[in-house]
Amino acid sequence: MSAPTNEPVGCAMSAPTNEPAGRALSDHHAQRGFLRTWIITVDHKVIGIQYLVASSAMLLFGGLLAMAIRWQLAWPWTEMPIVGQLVFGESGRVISPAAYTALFTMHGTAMVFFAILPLLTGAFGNYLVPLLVGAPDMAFPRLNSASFWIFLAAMGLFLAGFFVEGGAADSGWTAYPPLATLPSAAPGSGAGQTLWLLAIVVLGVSSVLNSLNAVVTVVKMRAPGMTWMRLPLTVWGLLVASALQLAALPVLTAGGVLQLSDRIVGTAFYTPAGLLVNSVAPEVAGAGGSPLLWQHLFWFYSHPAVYVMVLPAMGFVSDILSVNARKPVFGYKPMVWAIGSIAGLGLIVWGHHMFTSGLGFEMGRAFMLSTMLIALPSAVKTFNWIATIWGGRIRLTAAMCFALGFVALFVIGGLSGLWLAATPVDVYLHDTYLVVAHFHYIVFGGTVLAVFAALHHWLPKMTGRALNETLGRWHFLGTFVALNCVFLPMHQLGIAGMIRRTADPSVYRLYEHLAPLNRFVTWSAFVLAAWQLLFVVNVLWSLRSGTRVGRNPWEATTLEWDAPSPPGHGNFDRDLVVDCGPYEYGDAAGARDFRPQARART
Amino acid sequence: MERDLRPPIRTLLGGTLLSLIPACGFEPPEPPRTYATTAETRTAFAEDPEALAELERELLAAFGPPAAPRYAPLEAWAEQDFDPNRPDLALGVGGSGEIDDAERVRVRADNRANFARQIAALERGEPDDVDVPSRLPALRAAWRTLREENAAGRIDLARLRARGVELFEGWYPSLADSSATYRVECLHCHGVEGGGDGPSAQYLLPRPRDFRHGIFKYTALAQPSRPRREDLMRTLADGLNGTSMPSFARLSLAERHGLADVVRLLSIRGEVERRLAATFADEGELEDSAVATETADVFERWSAAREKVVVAATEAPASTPELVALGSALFHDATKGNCSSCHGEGGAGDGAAAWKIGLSGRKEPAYLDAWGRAILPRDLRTGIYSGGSRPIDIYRRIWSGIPGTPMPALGTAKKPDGTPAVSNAEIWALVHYVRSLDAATPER
Amino acid sequence: MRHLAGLLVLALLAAVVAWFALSPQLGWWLPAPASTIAHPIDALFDGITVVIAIGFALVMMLLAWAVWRGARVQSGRARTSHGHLGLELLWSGAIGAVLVGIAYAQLPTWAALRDPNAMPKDGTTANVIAHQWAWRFEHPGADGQLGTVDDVETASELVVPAGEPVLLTLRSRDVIHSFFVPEMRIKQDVVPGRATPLWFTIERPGTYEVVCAELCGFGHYAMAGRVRALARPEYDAWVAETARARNTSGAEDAR
Repeated sequence: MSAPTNEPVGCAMSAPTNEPAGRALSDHHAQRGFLRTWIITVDHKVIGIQYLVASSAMLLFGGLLAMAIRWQLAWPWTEMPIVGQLVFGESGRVISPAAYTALFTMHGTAMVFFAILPLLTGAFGNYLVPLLVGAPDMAFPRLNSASFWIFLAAMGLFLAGFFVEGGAADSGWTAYPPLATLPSAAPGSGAGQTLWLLAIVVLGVSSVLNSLNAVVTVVKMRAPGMTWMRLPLTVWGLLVASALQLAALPVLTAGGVLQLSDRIVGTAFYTPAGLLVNSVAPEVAGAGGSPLLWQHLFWFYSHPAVYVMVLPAMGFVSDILSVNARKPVFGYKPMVWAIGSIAGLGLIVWGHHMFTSGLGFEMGRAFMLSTMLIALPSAVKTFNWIATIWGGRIRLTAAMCFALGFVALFVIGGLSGLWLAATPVDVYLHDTYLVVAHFHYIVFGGTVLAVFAALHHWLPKMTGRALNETLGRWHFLGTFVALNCVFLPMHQLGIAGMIRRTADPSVYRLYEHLAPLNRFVTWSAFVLAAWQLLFVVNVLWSLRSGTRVGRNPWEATTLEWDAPSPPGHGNFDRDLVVDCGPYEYGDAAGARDFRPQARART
Repeated sequence: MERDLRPPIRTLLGGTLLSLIPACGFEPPEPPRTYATTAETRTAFAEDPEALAELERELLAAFGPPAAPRYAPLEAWAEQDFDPNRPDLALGVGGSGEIDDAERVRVRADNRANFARQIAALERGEPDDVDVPSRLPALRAAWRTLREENAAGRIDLARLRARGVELFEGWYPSLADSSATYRVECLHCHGVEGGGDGPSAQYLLPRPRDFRHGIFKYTALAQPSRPRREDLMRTLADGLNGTSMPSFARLSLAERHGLADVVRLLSIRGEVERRLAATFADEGELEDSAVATETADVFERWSAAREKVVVAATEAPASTPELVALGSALFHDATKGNCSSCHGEGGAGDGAAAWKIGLSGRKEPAYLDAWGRAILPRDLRTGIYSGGSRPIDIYRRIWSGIPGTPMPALGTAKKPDGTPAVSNAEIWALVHYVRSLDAATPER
Repeated sequence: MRHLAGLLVLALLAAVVAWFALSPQLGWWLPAPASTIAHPIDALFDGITVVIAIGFALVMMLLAWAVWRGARVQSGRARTSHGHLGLELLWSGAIGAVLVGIAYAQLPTWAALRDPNAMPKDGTTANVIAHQWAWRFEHPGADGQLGTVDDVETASELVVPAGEPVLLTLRSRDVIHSFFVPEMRIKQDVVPGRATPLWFTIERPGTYEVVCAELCGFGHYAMAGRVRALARPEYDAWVAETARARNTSGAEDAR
């Protein structure tokens, strides 16, 4: 461990001063072996990396499913090269109608529950929260490890769906009853749907434990001097997202348990009386249930879930914009207020998914109003981000490119939400490709770009090695262009009335002229997918032979840059006290253009 | 130290962009299909694989492969100048005349409506605005040929216009075209051979029809009979209520005729195969002309269906409480309708005769249908009539029964003295009683 | 390269604006409206599109400018500014006003669509029965009453008079479906276990496609139907013709 100094450790491209710590750490790991270092561990950083690897794998899996979906939409009922023969041999080498429903169901579920949410709260949440608040680890390290293994169990249950009779769940990631509850209604509504529900319930346990851990860590384990209003916005994003998970997830779990009960025990929470499904009247006890009940319970969680998927990303972007513009975040308190408002309002907008479900006139009006209002804090944040970089000294690192890309594309996604918030217009646009365009801009154009930004920003801290900046910027450019080529035309598809979840748009005369658009989107999707190889190559190359970095390669102010790269167990090698805010950049920072948040405790 | 990554990046970019250019017109080919023989056929020919191979070759020669079905010309047909491969053409001019003049007029009118956009573009003199839906590849190719001839100067704009309009108005799909439509619309339920065993079939109840028995449940005909074209067309247009057979009203009249042609071919091919397998199992050999003989015979039965239409002696009388009460009496009378024995006292499909106690000691359906599956009587309270809900449709169900199921033909039933068991008026009474059972229509 | 970043943002703005400006001409836009409610919905859509366009252009230009300048000016330090309450209030107020304005503007149209008081008292009625995977319709027949002996059942095609209010009752036999007629801008989920009303007036005679807009199993993509709107005289003729043909003895099939 290096000797403690009073001066913050500075720019480290040329003179890494954490080498002794790094060497000690790797020696220490060499003693303990691969298993005790990377598999059986309670170190929040390793657990974060475990989540990173697992959810990246699911991101890749979800992406492959998306490629099959795009193939079908461009050239329905044709044979995919190689995959057609290997995977769909039994249905004549083409995607059968039943297989298509399973494809988009599992794509959506994999992306939302097993890729994006765990990437943000599991990977980055676990890795960053203790470091950014100045804690040696999470509040409950063993619980943290348990959360990860429970997450893996949920993933196993989820993937097992592909191997059971009837195949994987196929009633959409929204799993509306009676389609999802009655095995006779869809092939995947047999064992596949039961496994899906079990996976979601088990995942819920993991997420709640993880969120609990994060909240307690931030509340109880901040370094001395780290007041609430000195927390980096990354922490605020992760904290509020975790609180939102704690508030809303139990409702999904309850709903999921009710659906499991309907399926296994034969109750009728969601099944109305008098049904005739596939020529059979389902045998259910009581039979006075309501399909709408599920919709309320599901969306009560799943709408806040989309804010859980974006708030941490917004936090990352705030930090990264500030560091790379060498300027404080504009309006710290309004930004915190905005994060809180998004979360609070996010709990009362769920009905906007049900405008056409038969929600009723007054309820529709109420949800319309809350949905309109939630655009406000997001817009405030956008203006604050622009004001942050306005007049800054911008370093166009790869992380910065991605963060700016987030701002641009999040704006597009947010604006398309205005069409959807106006109920009469939503009556037309609901369940069309405009909704698909809207949420993909937010999740892909927004969150995923923010994740790339965060990886470029923090992987050097995690691995002690730099990523290639040039490769990173090219990765950004191609991804940015291809993203827009894929999802921008989907607005037009939706405006023209093309519905979602359709295996063959050409069935309808109304959609015949949209075929060229669909083909263009598919080609762009292939390019977008292939382009991600640049990032994979970048990471692998960096791990092997990237330049070693010091503690603070970005000259940033927040606490994680005080620790060695990578940090050892316990994170910091000296006692820290915080004496200023997280964004002291610019001409008032002191001797240099940034003032680190923490200094050694004397 | 950062390596200069510009050269590899340029290569990647350039390669990506270049590879996209030929991609613009990319159309993946249709996946291959081959006919499989049935389990019964394989069992019958188990001892003689050579004979089985010979049979498969002959069937292929007689009916073509799945992607290019067609009837091989038969002597009997040649003598009459009859070609079932072209039902749209008249007898004696290379067709079979099965689409008569009146129907042809209807098809043309439907084509005019279906291709209104394309015909309007042609009449405006803007052939560039003409696009053909991608699900009609053969029509697309034909239009493209016309455009190429125009571009090459062989035909002028006026001729292009006239021939283009005629192409769309007069369009009737060939069997090969219809086979492509069959692959997209029908195959995933009905299977390559029409055996009701496509990849989606296992999830459906009732199962999709196996055409190869030549039995079609919902026709307007006295049984036993093959269906008429009009029966298949009705099923295609309206679907079968109460089953997963959807309505294909969204397809044009010409496309539906084409599907009916393909279904008939598959049915005949399947039936010929079954008959030959049975013959071989009995006699151990097949004659040289066995395929042709059987094909001609089965086809003749299809043609003869036209004569077996069930027509009621009178139009449907208005429904009155007296008529409904008479119908109820007949329904419950074991010597007359005897309907309640299967359909139950209240028409709920729970009559005692429909159930038996199985080996497991539990109640199970007593009957199997012609395709070997357990079958239950219709729950008449649902108001779901697969064969149509008009009074005459229900009349025909009662009169002819439902082939392939235990539903008997009441219209041909005779009393011991040889006179008809039920009269025309009594059947109408039953019709009105049955319709009164529909829970959703209290005033029926 | 520093300049490219700002230019990239402007390129995005230009591309998006051009794309959306050209889309209507290329046919990649709303289908021609066919019902009376389609007009206020389209007007609302167009109004929001204008708001979106202005907002998008404004934000992108600000972003491009900030990036351009920030990437260009590298010397010295940025001003350590933590914010400006006045600016926050300004843009919060402006955006809030726009949002409340849109919310207010769409209230009458929503009421016309869903307020039970807006349900037509007279008008043609019909039942819609959705099941896996077809639409079936029950027309009232010559007596104009649903639920009577002379009701006419059709598969896939709903026949109604144009220019007059139509009131449908939607029922599902099995799972949730959704009755969507894009040209009429009408959509209503058909939830099993309830009878859901839906009303509209079709402006001009024509045939309009019905699309199922809620996943209902693997046949969802093919659950097509159509609404055929006839002028009143033709509609009356259709009603009379179907009533007459309904009681047939089947003789016309034996030609």
